[in-house]
Amino acid sequence: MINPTLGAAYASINTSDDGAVAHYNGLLMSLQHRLGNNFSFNANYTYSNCIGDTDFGAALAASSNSQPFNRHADWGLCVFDTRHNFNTSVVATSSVKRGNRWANRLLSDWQLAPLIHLSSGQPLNLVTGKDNSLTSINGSNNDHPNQVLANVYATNPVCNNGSTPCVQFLNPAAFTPNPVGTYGNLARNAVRGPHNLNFDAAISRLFKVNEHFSLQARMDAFNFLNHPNFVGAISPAGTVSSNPTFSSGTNNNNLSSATTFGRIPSAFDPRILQFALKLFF
Amino acid sequence: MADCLPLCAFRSDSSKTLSKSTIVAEMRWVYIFEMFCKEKGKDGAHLEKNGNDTPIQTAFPRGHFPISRRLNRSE
Repeated sequence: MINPTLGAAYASINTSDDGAVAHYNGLLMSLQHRLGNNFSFNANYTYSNCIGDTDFGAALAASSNSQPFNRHADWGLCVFDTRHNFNTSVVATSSVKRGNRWANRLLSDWQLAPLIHLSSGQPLNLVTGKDNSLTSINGSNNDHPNQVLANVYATNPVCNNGSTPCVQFLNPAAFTPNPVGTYGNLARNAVRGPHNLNFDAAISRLFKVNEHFSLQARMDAFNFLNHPNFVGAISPAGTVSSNPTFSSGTNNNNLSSATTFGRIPSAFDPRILQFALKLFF
Repeated sequence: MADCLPLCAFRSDSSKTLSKSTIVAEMRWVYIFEMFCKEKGKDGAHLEKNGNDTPIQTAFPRGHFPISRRLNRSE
């Protein structure tokens, strides 16, 4: 195998194969109350696991394998693996029909519509950014580090990138680069990213003007709890990032980026309140 | 995966639905197996076998030749 004299004439040689596999198991449960008695209710929960040899990025994309002749060494969670995923929504409308006419008018036609989304964090693929394994795969960027502490998460999340506040999510001291000539012991996608909790709610009141016109006054609250949902998790809209680095364009999952490794520089939207008047005709 | 054909894919889907009045409950178990796919219409590996490239690439160590597989699989 070793022929450095002749081999030096080649910058790199690509090869392709089709043997990588992935398995997905999912238990999906849902409960629904169709509109009746002035309310409807939906809830669903998914418990799932996806595991495979690699993550599909694009056709003939750069390899994510870390070992040239052992694809199965990268057996690990899929990039979109979300162990728990829970969603629920309610739409309830008040209808009061008692003796007092004004009380009926005042308390009826209010509508409350909360929506809750809760999901586990997605896996993060941690690399060293160095070719200590001497495999030279994918620009020497596929080496996994060694995990040296049991708890890889930072105990103190406060950090600062210059003038920009951030969150120290991983503890850099929990990892060391793999020694030269060896592979790291951390598996692919072995670390779980931040979870996601989102609570939206809408409250509205319908005013009937006449038979043809009605006016709705409403208030919508997005991320009502103002819970920080960090980039690296599923977005509140349910979009799954294709590559769960902490931030696209940076190397926060890259151990060689010593100053930013394990940091989360951005989050999805904070609490947003929206007021509106709607005219139905 | 829009431009790829799975070489092998298997999906098992079983579900049970219970309903009473306006209430519907459903439980579903999904299992998917997929062998990663073959790309259509590109020859990024320059093997002159258009349509037969696959998206999973590995590289031989720089300065080395592989032992266990032929260099030119188009032969």
